[in-house]
Amino acid sequence: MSKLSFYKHLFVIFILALVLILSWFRSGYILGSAEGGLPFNNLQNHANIMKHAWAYPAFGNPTSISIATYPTYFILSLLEKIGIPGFIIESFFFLTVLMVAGVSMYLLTYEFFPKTKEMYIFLAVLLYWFNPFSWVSVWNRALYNFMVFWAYLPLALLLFYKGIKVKDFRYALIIALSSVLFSFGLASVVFNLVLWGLLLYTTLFFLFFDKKDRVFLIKYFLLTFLLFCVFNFWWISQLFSFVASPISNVVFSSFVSSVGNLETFSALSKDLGVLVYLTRFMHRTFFTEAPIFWIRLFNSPLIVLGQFLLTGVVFLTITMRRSLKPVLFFGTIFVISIFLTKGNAEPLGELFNYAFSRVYALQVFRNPFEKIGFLIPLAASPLFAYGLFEINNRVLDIRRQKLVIVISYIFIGGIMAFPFWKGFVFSYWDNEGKIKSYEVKVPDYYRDVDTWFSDKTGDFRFISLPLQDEGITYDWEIPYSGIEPSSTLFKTSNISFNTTIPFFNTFVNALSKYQLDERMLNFFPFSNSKYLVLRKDIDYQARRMANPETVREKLQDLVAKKLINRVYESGKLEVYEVEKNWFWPKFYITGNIYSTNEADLAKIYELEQDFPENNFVTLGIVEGNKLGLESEKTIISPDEVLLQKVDTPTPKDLSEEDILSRLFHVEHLPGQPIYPLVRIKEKLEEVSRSDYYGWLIYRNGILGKRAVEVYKLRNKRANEMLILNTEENYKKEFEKLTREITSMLTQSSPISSLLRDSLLYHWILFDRADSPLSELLEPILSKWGIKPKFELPVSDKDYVIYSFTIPYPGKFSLVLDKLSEDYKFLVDGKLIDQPVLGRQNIDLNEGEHEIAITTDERTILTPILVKETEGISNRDLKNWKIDIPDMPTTFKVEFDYRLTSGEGFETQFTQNIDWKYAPVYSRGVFTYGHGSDWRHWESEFTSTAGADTGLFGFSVTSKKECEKVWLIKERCLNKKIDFQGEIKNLTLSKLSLPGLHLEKENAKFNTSSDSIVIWNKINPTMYNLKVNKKTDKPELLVFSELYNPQWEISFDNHSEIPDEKHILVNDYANGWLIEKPGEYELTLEFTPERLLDKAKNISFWSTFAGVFLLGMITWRRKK
Amino acid sequence: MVDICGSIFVGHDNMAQKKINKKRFFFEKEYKFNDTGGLLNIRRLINLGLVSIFFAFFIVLVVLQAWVIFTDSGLTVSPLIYWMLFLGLAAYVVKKSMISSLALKLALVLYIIASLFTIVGLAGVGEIFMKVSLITWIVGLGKALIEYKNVEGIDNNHRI
Repeated sequence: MSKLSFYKHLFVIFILALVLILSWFRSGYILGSAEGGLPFNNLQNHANIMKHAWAYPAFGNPTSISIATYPTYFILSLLEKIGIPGFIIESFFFLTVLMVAGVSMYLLTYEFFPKTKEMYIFLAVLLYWFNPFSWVSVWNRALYNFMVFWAYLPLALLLFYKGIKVKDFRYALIIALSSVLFSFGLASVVFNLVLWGLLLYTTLFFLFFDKKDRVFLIKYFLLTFLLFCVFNFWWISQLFSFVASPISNVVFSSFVSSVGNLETFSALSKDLGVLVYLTRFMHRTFFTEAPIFWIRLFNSPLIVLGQFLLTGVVFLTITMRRSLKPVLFFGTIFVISIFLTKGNAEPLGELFNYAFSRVYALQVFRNPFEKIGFLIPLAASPLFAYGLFEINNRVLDIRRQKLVIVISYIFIGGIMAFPFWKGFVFSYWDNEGKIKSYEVKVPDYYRDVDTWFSDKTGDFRFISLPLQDEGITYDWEIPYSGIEPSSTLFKTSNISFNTTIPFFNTFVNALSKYQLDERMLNFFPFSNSKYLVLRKDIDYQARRMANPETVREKLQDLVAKKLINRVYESGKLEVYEVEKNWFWPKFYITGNIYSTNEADLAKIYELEQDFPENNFVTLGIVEGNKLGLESEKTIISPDEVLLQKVDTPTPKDLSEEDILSRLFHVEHLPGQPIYPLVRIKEKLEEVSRSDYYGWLIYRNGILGKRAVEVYKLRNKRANEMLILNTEENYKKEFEKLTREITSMLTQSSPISSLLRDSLLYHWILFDRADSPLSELLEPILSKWGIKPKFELPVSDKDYVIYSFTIPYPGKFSLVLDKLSEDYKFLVDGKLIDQPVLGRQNIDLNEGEHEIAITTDERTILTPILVKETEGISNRDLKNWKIDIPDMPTTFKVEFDYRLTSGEGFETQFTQNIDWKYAPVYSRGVFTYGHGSDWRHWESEFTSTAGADTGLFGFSVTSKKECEKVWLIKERCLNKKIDFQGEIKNLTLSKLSLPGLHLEKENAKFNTSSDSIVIWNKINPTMYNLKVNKKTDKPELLVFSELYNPQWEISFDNHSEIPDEKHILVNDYANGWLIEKPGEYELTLEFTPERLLDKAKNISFWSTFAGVFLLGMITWRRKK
Repeated sequence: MVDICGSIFVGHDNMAQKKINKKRFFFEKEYKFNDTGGLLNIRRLINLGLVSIFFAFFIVLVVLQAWVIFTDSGLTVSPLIYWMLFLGLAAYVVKKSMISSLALKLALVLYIIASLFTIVGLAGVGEIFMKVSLITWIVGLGKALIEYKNVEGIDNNHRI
């Protein structure tokens, strides 16, 4: 290929990319949605956040591998600084991504298949740009690092291959340098694994064939890897620093579990690992479930045919040109990547289960489609271009060749690219199926409020209301829907959403429950929050958030009580400042210590009369004990509170024979050759569902068989995999029956006691065999009122059971808030003297305990809706308005019903903050073939934070009806069921269980702490503190930033406060035990920043040296 | 479609076939040299028995799977079928020195069948063929890699 020809094509690629960009940004707005947020709204903010090892938004968090994005944000923020609008910078960013991807793919195809004509090579570029994977997983996902990685992948492969081809180590240097430029795309561990997996495979592939080049290939790969690590050391060091820190364990154990990962992996594999879609690069659910008609057009026969033909060319090339190394190279990548992307779906998916459950690191691939899927178009594009060229050249005459070329260009560059040209790749559909663009214009009042906050001095945060999870929808003039963007909108640290950051999540979970309650203010002092921002511009129903108007009314009450003042307003944002006592500084010293396990801090604050005038600190009971701190007060809240009915004793003393004789007999166990036949026999013997009770008894019996199988296999110490599979079988069977069992247990049916007993036997078997299923079953059985932890005597009254974990033995005060008449009081199943309301002392040993109190319905249930009889039918759907308390509340609904026609109906509760088609509660009520008999129904539901009214009523239920088409195809439709009948004794009640906690008071609170701390913030990772500690008594220095063991305090003589004196306080913050009295200076530092400083130097100087070396070598060669 | 397109590359395939045949010739000569007569017959008999059992079991599984589909029972037989297919095909390719072209062409035919079923709206049936096709691609490409290594490439014009 001549230089002129290359530049000509480069120009065409540029023009095409430019046309795309002009089409996307024609309105002059930035694009942003989904998980990408709105970085282009304020790039300087983003650059500042990513500058240090500690990101300051919310309570702060380690930047870890995200720091890899810093150079890009820094460069882009410079453009912003000189006044270039965000949408132009974003369009420049997208143009670069498209250009790099296009040119790299062009050159990659040319390098591997040099004889291919340019017009075919160009098709590779179009295919790489416009395939469905690129549409859904790169552009529509709106994750900027995904885009950069997608662009970098062909470039990295091209450079790596070029180095192998010309045997030139300079390419190792070039790849490493390029990785610094594209480090934005590497801000994800998984992408690094995919990149290095690809380069390793390339090395091994050539190693396999070229014996004489083995030494070069090994050296080349190692050198590339080494240079990559050195040049990118600044972010690699942060990643390792995070992984090695104890906090990473908390992150993984809190929000990521192996079982959860495996479940996600299996669910995604089932949904997305469908080969007839994968081979067409398609995200199955996106294309089949989208409510947009033109997306569904991609499933129309003609387009499907075109897509299959396209992949067919790839497969045909592999088949017929397998004797070419490039074909073999890309062909193997293509097939392997399809195989890996499908996850543990068939065929041979068991390999993944095996690897996944053993190699923990592989669990980062729990969504293989979005990670490994990048390799599918990468391998397919060059193969397609080459294959089409070969087919055309060898089979068709010139006229037909032209026709094929035109059709290919129309199909890829027109039909498949249609959503790109129209800008639909940057769109989503809302709850009503309407298409919405990613175009966003942040209203100017956000800038006003941001500036207003920036003008204030001192360290403080603000809390935004309404408050909910990570997703948010703003009803701005040009609206936004996606991840909550407040960290980009404001320079001031704020709490505006909830996310899965350990400790932050605990704090905000508790806070968000109180957003309509005055006690919400209790969270301000501890979170160093001085202001409250009311955002009236959210689409609250889209995200089931509190109605801003309701929040505003509540805030007016607080203003009236002079607890807050409205201090600023701009557009749809109102800023309130809390009364000065409710604002505590970022650092404070206190000797007032509460030890508690209570996550809901509002409850603790209520116990302290001098709050918020006097500051104090809460810490975990274990932490307090470890430090040897004598806390002023210890408060132990129940781990769980259950309401149970005990009408039969637990048969825990039954022998193995007794239990096994009460369950279905099991002779052949899984793993035995005959076992599959046993399962077939079970299926053949299954009772028809028309005999509902008979069917349920039989299915319950089969569930028992699975339980016995687990028990016997575990006792035999059988193969672990086999046991796991058998336990999985039990779980599956149990899940299938859950709905039926729940229904039977909540009403008095002839088989309720049979179900209760058999489930209890299962649990006993699992418990005796040490199966993890016992832990799975135990809380469910407790919830269904089948089994408490400590056996309770049979009673005609309900028990409220409080489970406690007592950290150390002692005498505790029992604090109760309400009791019924003639109650019984039991500790660990033993009846003891009855306490009176308020306080009573009890002795408890260390360990788990249960306190049970008998109660009656009058004490715990407050009826709010009572109807004696009502006719119900699908033509007259009745509903009643219900007021909801400010805090999330549990409601109990019960009624008797019978139907004269229809099989069932739906009970629903729709809150004022629910989207109309998604009520917070909706349950089917069915007759099971006994429509004319009166049946009883009971159910519970809980309102969500922010709701203040709701409609309770009945609705039409639907049933899935399937019919076979052409014998093998099944067509299913959800059919609405008409019904008519009557209900009686309808009661909807508020359910509130008596509050109970344990207290241990050691001393009276100090009225105030005289010790003082003042500080100077150097940057988000470093503070200089001046302490004046006026007492010899040990006190806690509190730093209201997210707890992380890597925060370290040192004295001016460089000696450090030992790690064991650094603890979690106030549920999320850092606390240090300080004992030294007097005046002295301390330095607080987030230690990974030190490593970052060194790593930055290493990366900078090595990259500089790399560029210099490359220049020198090239210059000398030219010379 | 396969036949038409297959003819495109016929020249190369013939060359590859010749080389492979040459290799097979030498291999078979060596094999005959080591022939132990009666022992070979017993081995053949055992092989035949194993193959028969394999096929019998495979057919039982396929019938069982068909029954599972029609009765909508919860049994999962299909993973076993795919594993048997994979191992059977791999064993055949290794043991019988089946050339990769046959496996890959079979995979392509299966792909085309799967595509046709999907196009006419029977994606469920198409998926089954696609799964078998994927297994055949894996085996065929594995074999193609070994062949390429053994014959050290055919088309030197395209050698890297």
